[in-house]
Amino acid sequence: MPAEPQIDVPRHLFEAYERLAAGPTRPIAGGTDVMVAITGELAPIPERMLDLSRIDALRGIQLEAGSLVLGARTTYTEIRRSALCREHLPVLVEAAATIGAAQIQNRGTLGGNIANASPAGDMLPILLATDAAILVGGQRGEREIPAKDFFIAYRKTALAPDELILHVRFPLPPGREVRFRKVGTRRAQAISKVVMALAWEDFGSTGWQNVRVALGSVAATPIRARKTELILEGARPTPEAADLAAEILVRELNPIDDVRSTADYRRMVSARILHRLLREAGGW
Amino acid sequence: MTAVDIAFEVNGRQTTVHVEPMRRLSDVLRDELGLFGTKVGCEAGDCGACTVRLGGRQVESCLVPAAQANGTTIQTVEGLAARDGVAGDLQAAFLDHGAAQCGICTPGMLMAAETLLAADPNADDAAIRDGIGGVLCRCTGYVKIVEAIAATRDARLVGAATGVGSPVVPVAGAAVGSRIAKVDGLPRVLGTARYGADHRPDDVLAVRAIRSPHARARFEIGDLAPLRSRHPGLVDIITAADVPGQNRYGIYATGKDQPALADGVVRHPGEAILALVADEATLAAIADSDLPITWEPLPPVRGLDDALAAEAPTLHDASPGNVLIRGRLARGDVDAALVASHATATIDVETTFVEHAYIEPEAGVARRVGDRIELTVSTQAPYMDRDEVALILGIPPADVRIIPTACGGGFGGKLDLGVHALIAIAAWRTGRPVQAVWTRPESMAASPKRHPSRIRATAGVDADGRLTAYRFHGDFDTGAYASWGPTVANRVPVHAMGPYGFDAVLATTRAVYTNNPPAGAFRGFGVPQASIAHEALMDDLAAQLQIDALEFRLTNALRAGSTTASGQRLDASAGLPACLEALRPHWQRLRAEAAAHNAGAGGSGVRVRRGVGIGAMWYGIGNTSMSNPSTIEMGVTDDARVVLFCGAVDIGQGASTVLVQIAADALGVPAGVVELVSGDTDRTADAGKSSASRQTFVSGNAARLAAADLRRQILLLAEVADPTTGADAAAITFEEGRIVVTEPGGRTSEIDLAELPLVPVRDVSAACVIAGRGTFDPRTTPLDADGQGVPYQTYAFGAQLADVEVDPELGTVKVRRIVAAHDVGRAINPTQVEGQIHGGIAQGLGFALMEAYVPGRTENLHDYLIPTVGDMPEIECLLIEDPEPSGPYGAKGVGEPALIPTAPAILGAIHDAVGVRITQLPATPDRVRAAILARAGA
Repeated sequence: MPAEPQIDVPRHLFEAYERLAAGPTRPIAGGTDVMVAITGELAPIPERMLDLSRIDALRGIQLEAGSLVLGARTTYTEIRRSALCREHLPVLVEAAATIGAAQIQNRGTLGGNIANASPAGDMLPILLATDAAILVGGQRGEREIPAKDFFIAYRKTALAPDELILHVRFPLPPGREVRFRKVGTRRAQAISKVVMALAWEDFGSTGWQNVRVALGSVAATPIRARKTELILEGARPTPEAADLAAEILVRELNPIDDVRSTADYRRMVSARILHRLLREAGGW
Repeated sequence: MTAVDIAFEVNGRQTTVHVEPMRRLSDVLRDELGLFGTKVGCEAGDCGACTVRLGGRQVESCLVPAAQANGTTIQTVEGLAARDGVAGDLQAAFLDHGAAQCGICTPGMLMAAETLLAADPNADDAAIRDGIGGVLCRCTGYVKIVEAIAATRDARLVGAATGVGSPVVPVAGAAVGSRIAKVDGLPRVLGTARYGADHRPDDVLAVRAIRSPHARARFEIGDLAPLRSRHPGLVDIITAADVPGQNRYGIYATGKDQPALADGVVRHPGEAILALVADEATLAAIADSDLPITWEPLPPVRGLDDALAAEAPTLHDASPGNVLIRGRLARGDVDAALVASHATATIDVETTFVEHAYIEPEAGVARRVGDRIELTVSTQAPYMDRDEVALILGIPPADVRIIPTACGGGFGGKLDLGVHALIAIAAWRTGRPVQAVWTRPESMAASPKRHPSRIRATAGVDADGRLTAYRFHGDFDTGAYASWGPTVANRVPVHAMGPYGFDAVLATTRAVYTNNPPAGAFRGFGVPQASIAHEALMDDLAAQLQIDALEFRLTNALRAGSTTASGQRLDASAGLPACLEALRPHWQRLRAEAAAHNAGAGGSGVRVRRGVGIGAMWYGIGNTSMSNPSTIEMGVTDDARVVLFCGAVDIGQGASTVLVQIAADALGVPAGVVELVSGDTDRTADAGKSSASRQTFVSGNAARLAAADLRRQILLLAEVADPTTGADAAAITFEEGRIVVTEPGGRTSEIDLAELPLVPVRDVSAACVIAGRGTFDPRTTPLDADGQGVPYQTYAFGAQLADVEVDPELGTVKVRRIVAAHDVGRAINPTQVEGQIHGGIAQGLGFALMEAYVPGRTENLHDYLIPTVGDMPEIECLLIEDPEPSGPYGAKGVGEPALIPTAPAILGAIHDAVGVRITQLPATPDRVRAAILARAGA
């Protein structure tokens, strides 16, 4: 039964930037995280809130110079229904469909998933696997932060307190494939025990290039498994490569036990998922 | 915080509210606009009960700040009605299909479904499941909900304006056995039913419990004067010393060990130590850390091992060694019989806390009326509540009135006091109405759970496949207070060996105190835990003897003429053989399909393995060897209304409907004629608690007797030759101010009701001129020291098959199909029986695969997982009606029986699929995977 915080409802980015520059302010978009937190049971209630829901500049899904660009306020439902996403990065559609259920998908946003930076955030491994960049802005200007540099510690990001996430740019290199897999106990509304995105570029003779293996729920932040990536770099998705990559991944990960699962299980399942994705890619 | 004007359209009307901009839309709808149809189950976006349609999309209104509703268009459940008080088509379909049980999720379900069908009129069943995947239901297993939505879709596609179903309206004498809609169902689908949190008198105060962060600690409360002066809005601060009566309550007269407010010692995390009474704003401004409490944490007793250790601290002086109670059943020489057995099998089973997770957290309001107190509260047991509140206030029970609200799910959890004690004390002291609505974390921290158990069992069989002996010991973690621990300890030994005949049985139990939240009553009272062991042993022994697992059970099944382990001869209505025979063709087909799948040619990819398992059960109806009578009155008023005064609470399971059906047939009138007064202790006699699957059998008999008594009196007044004649012999009809009785020969007589004097019934406002009364108490005997006697008058029997798919690499389990056969004696309302079976299976599936409550860590509905619609298998129900001669129209009970065989069947199916027997529940993917790895390494 906490006290109610103050809230500002700007229509333009510059107004939002002013508020953020004026002092500590908690942005709210779809509210699917913030409204859970405001019971005060998890953390102190913010004194000021900044409602982003009227800022149209944060919306939209576009193709720009070889990249797919999603506004921070893009909801999971909008991703699921986007013809552009379906055509250029269908893995986004697949992942969006696994997040919560319809109510959460209607309200929850990509920007919120990133800002919240939960280690179990379902979209985040895809950002890592696709070398996505996060454009942030404030009164001091705009800057683009590579996803790999964005998640710096448990629920801590590179976003400064006076900055907003504006949009996310997913490069679309030719020949790249991306896969997504999520394992949870429940078959709907599941919080993931392990979530994985795998990306590679394949030009035939040289084997896989720019391999990315990214995971959620296995560390304090979403991570890339760089040793495993190295093993797969230049390889082909053969049974031998899959066995080796799975073995390396098991050794590389250092997850924890918690109420959702055990460390052993997370390690093992991560390896089996990778193995499966490689097998499916190899068609064996 | 400054309130602002927020304008939006709700249900077609433009509205402006003046509220704080971060207020939850759910609160705005309920508190500012009185739209109580929108329910609040978690305030965390997990349960979906508060789902509304906002801008054409379904959203959880608890996650929408009021500021974001400005300028939007909102539809709530109230906007679905065809017109005032008349159900819209989707609502009517929910009613006709039995898709609403307790009804607390119904508004959210309806809004999710309406939004889906509006966007996708052709939505297939998969799209329907996806569309309602965010709304949790704990009662129905979602089966009838999906059916109702699909029926609405089909009706809309062919342009049927209304009436997607065909409501069943049976004639006089035909109610029993017919699928009439819930008699209390219309308000549930309209969203007008008032639950515990929906009663808010104007000048109401709130009471907030301050709860212990420690599992075990001593504490002192310092000077409260500074707190009072800092917060002048505080109306009262209540501590243990302020409890007017006895600060110890509990289910059993000998087990009253639980304080309303802890007195210097806390025994579980979340235990209330102090209560603040004020308006909500004042309470909101006080942090727990503002209170002058000095804690001295003590090492907690965290579970059975801690509690039973030699050096364990004694948690209750009356129970040295921390054993609250022991249960025992002994028959024959088990040791000798096991030694002489051809084969034996032994198993160790461990189960954990399971949370009821009803979607309605505990809530209610208390008012002091002179020297009486009235509680309007969500409950399963109004008369027990009455006596407990009287004890705590130190007033006579007659001065306590319990008015049950619509109950948003109970499953045993609302048999204990919830908000009662503190609202009653606060209202008693302040003279003002006082409300409490527990938050989800508060409910999960403070309410009782299913007992964790640790079981070891051994069974033996002779060379012919006949069971010989069963030895069982189970320890049950009863938590900090006794609650229903004695019931578990006494019920389990009777049922421990399962529904089979043994020559020798030794079954012992202990209920053990720990510093966990109290474990109490939860659908089955320990029997679901015990069934994990006996069914695994049946599978094991059948396999050792290479006998088909179903046939093995059939050979050994209790049946009419059998003698149970407690020495009771079953004379009738023991329909397990019929259940197993009904399942046999399904069993053989599903086994063959699974085997074919598993043998199938490799192909690409990891193959999931399929398996089929079976679970069988029995369950005694009503209390164990204890009187548990129900009394029901039925009257005719001076204006010719027929009223059933029924103290049995409908917690969603359908008791009200079943009792009306029984009473209508016994009186000889159409069910639609019967009005119902339900639960209010000032207006109804004591019909006991809604637990132990007893309302159909026990209260059903009371209703039958009351109606028969009323009929006899009417026929006497009509001077019919034989007033005891049955319902088909003389027709009774009600007209304005009179009753007309028509005999088979054509003779009619009239009773002018205005000429009759009023007769007393418990409801003094009722103006009854003729009244019948019925009391029924099951015939049982006390059990001797060896548990021998007649613990129950009748038993339910059943068996289920589970067809599952296991991913051996990931350890994930998907239940594809359940086929459930239950001997219910007589299905008074087949739709409701099916609904109970579906819901029991959903809870059994959760018990088997995902539900694990960890004190202090899973106190929300995203870390504590219950099945969603996406987790539910296809379900086929086979109703077996082996009539119980002492039951009303042959009926028994099905509420708890439906849950018991599900988990054993699923665990057996996992074993069939991948060869591992999971003995620690729930069978989460990590445990299944670890077991597979261990087997491969062995």
